Amino acid sequence: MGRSPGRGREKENMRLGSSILGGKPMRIPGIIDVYQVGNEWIARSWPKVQNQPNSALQLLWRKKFKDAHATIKKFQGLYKAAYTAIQCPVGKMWIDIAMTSIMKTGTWWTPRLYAWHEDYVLYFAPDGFPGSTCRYLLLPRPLGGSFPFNVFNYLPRHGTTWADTMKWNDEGIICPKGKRPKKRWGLSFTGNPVERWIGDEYPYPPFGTSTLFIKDAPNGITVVSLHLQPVIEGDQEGWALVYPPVYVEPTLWTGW
Amino acid sequence: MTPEQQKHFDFVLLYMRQLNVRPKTFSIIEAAYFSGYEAKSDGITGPGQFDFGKLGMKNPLGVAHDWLYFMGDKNPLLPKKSSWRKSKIRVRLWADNWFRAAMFDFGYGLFAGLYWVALRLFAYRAWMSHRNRNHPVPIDTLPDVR
Repeated sequence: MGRSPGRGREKENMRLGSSILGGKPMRIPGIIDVYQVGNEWIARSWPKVQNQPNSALQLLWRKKFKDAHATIKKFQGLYKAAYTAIQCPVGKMWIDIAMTSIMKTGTWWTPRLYAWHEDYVLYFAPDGFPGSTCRYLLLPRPLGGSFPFNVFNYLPRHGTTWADTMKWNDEGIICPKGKRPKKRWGLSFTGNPVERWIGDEYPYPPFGTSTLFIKDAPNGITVVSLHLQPVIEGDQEGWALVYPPVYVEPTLWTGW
Repeated sequence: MTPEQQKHFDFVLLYMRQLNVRPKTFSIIEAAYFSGYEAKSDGITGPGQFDFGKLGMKNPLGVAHDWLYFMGDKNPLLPKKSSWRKSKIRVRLWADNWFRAAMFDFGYGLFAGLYWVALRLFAYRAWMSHRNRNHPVPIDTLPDVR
């Protein structure tokens, strides 16, 4: 067989034809039905962009899917317990929600989400904490650790149940071409976020690393991080449950 | 965390990525800085801060080792194996061993053994000081160390 026609010169060295008689077939990925007749290459169609199988787009998608699955396998401790306890819409499991969230946010999934803390504690001091008049203080447990994400940007919500905090919205039916229709669900908040208490003695906001003073939370709070804007460009407007709801009830503070 | 501490944090992360340190070294130092312990630590006590003194910073290894002592056996980043968590003696040993390994990562391998021996001999008092004060407590309640 002679030298294969280069990608850039395919049209120069080739002509379109319908006959395949007397030709010698050649396999070129992405091009179908190419035959050599004498010194001439004959194709039954011009080369086209490969879309399957194993196209770059498909391989990328499979890699993202496998990576997301591997990430879910690594869930542990409180994080995993909270994720498995979420309320899911009909026909979905927590793993579907996690998969969707990871595929949308990708880079946000780091081990720190479950490595830097084991639980939370919401202390209630009737007379205020030393040096402040604030009565509610949220801390990661063990004390001295850090919040796994910036709680100042993603403030906890009032309430200690799923219904107090979040809800699934029926967003109609999507009908992908060639596939059966399926229901689209959106996730949003129902309650209000707690209000931060900023004391006089902190000249700099400690931006959510190890303590969060809260103005009022008598019925407890829910620590949750729900991203309502997609990170990946070109994606539809959506949501990603980066940190599943963890319910924290007030505990009387008796000193450190 | 002040803006200056945030700058230090960013620099230390960048520095560790350049050095390509081990994941355990990286995660402990990252956690120590993220929790804001830089302001509460004096870095490497006594001999100096190696090259970080010239930058006006505390040595990240000292900060992270102080944080390990502060957290004691409550540290979520301790090894999963229960024998390392149940015994306070072994937790301190693990912290000192971590410091020795991290010194190799940071290029102070020549001093690693010496510092490890010094920690084993003289750091028990610091460790007990943390335990007697019932640490860990919320970091914001601790006084700053300049």
